[in-house]
Amino acid sequence: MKALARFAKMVTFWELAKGLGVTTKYLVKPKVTELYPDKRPVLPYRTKGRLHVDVETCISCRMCEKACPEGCIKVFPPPKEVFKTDKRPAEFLLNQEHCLHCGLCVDPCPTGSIHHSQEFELVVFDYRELLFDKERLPYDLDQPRYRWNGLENARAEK
Amino acid sequence: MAADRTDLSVTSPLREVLESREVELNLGPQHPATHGVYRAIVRLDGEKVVGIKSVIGYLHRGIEKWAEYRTWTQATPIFDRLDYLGAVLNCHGYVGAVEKILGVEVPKKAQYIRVVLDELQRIASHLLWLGTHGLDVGAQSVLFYAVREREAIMDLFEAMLGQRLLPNAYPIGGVRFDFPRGWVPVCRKFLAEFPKKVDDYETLLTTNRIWVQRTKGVGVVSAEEAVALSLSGPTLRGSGVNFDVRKAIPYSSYEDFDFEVPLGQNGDVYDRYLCRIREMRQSVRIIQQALDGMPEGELKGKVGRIIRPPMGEAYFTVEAAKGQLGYYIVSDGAEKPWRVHVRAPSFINLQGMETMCKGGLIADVVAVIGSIDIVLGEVDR
Amino acid sequence: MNFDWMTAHVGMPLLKILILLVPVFTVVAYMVWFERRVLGFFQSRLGPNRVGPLGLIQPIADGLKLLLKEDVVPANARPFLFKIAPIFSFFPAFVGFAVITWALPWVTASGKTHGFVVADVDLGLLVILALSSMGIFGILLGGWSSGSKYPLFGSLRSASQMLAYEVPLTFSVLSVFLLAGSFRMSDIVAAQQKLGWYFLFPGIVAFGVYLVAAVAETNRTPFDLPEGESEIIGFHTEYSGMRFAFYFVAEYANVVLTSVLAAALFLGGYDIPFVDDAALYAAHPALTSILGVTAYAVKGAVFAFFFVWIRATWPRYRYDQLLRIGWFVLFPLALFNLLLAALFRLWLLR
Repeated sequence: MKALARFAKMVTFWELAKGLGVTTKYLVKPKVTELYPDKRPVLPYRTKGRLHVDVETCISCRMCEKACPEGCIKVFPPPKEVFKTDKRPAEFLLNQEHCLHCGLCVDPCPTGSIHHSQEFELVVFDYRELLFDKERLPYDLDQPRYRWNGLENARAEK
Repeated sequence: MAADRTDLSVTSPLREVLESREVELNLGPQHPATHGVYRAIVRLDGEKVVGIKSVIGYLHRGIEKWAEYRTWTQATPIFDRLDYLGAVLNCHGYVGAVEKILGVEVPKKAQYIRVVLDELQRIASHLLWLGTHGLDVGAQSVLFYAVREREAIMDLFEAMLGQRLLPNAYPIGGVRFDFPRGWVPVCRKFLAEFPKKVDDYETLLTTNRIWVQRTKGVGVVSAEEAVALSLSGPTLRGSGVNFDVRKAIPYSSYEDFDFEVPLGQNGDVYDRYLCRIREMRQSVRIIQQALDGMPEGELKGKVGRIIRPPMGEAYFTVEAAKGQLGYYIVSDGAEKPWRVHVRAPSFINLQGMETMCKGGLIADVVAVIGSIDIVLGEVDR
Repeated sequence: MNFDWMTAHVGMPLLKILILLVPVFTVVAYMVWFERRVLGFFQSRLGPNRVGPLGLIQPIADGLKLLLKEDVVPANARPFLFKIAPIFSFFPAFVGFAVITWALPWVTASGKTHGFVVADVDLGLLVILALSSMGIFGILLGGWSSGSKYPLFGSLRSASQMLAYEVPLTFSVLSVFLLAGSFRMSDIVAAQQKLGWYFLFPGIVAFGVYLVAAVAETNRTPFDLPEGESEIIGFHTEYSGMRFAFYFVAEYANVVLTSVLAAALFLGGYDIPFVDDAALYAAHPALTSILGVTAYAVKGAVFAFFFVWIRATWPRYRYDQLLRIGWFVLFPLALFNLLLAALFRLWLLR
């Protein structure tokens, strides 16, 4: 009896048909393709995208410069006389092209001036666009930092 | 299957009549099925493989040397790039080694969080293995299903660690942050749905007669040979040898969790496939136990700002997705490592290629490469 | 040599060729689109959807791209054979469409009723089989003249595979011939119209053998090791640009041809199911023909879908297992099936 069942399964390609059933199941289910760039994703709060530096709150301690494995950050403190009152850096160079997005510069910053943002679209035609100095360093106060309210809402655009 | 072919081997008398020769075929570095830039020089006698020589080094990036020019903390991100599909596990190995040499005690809560992230990474790595192995053998849809599952895990990683693929997960001493609000329910939802997806993969492959014919009896390595070749991970356990670092040399509270270590019997491609599928299910069990029993406490042990380990050496090994991953670090008291050596499982498992492929057909070589589960980042470092 | 003769023997055939070629080329090109899109849907993703609405312009974009590519002839290759090899694959795939009858005839021009077939030969089925055997030459030539090891291996494997599966294919077609009594396509369809389930019921074994052999003949998964993209890449490794397009299109034309043939041989061809065709034809010949062609197209599409379905699902066989199935499983089954068909013919169909 069992042998008969096995024989029947062999000639009717039973388990192969079950495999066909699995693919058919996914044929009718909704597709998971994300229609980028028509629909841009909403990324979580902790996403390590492009670095944002608030040079106004930076105190030129250079901890981020020492922490970076690639040497992407170069901080130039102001001259000694200025430093007594105003600790903001004279120049702040950031090489976003070589950034590993490891987050090691964010950990030691005492004022939280340097942090990763959710910007991930860093493709440029000219790499010099990714070299930032104090003038070009973006920290747009108008730009929203996405609030974290759970993963379900993070993909709210779906 | 291999016995009833006309004996056209190099030593048969027919050879003089037919003037057949061995052909050296280059399964070159550019090949869709060699999982990266791996080159195999295969000596063929017709379709049968007589010898196989691996040529590696196309992806050598000098990672171990690079680490010597960075401080102990700065060196952490590079080890993600070794096995880039199982980055969190690599990170765990390195920070575990540094913690060992420093004598830092990682708090229990951090250990449990590390276990959750490690096992998620293991599932992700095995999923991609399943996809690429299925693709090599011909089942194209499994890749897309596996990658779709991986997306869910990568979303979890992005919310927790900040990056999907190379997150630089752990600082030396613990973990950086706790789970975000709302992360644990999403993770549990994933864990509830995932076993059904594994059932789908098994329906597609495990009993499929084509799959069984392609993978049973192919790439056999016996238990003694496997141990002699220093294989590890599912490649070793497929031959029936019960060695899993999580059970044999427990680290990071793995002894608190109840899980099985799947073993194979014959040491062929089919058994290794089954081992990994079952490991994925066991990982789900472990994560559920870890989430259920998550203790309260600190997230990071006592580690100074600047890390200067005492002079000495330490070796720390974890069960990576590919096998036993070990870090051997030597410190001379400075803030930069003197030497970091990585015992890469893929590199050592690759030594078994000749044993597994000899006597098979050339189509089997691709199946075997897939079943060893190599990542060239690890092989070449 | 008057006008009627010219129309009947030159004008109408040329017109028929034109009317046949344009839809056939379109269908073959859009078979590519169909496969990529449906394969994507099986795999939980959308197929091409950027180029035109629903990705419908994709085949045109692909064709344009392949036309504009650099013409590379490898240094080790034999130039003349390298250049003409794709033609040997391309030509039989399309000529096979000439002997298929698409619908019941209703056009009368110059006193002669013209059927919906370019060449209504007595041996229509045999012509298709002979042409598919010719297709092997394209692969053999292409692989050998490429001057490199990978294509050589691929072409040798493909040639022996196609040889091995030609025989069961021929036998299953032969059993249909036994049941129908003629090689002419219109006769085969007419013979099926008398049966309830077409030739599916008397020829169920033949159907199974035909399906497996057809998948192997067209080098599709699970028998696509010769062009196994993840192993030995196959006979078309060195081909690029329009030459590769010829091989590519030839493969899809073969798929369409075998689907259409399966519909004709086993599913009744242009017979409209659940409808009395003879009565409808007497009353409205034009409507019958149009509905007939539609029914035929739908049946063919079912088979094409089936080809894509199994490509999405099953892994591929290794080369020796493939040949083993061809010679040791399908061949005896096909022979046995011939016996069955003969018995049917004797006792059931009279």
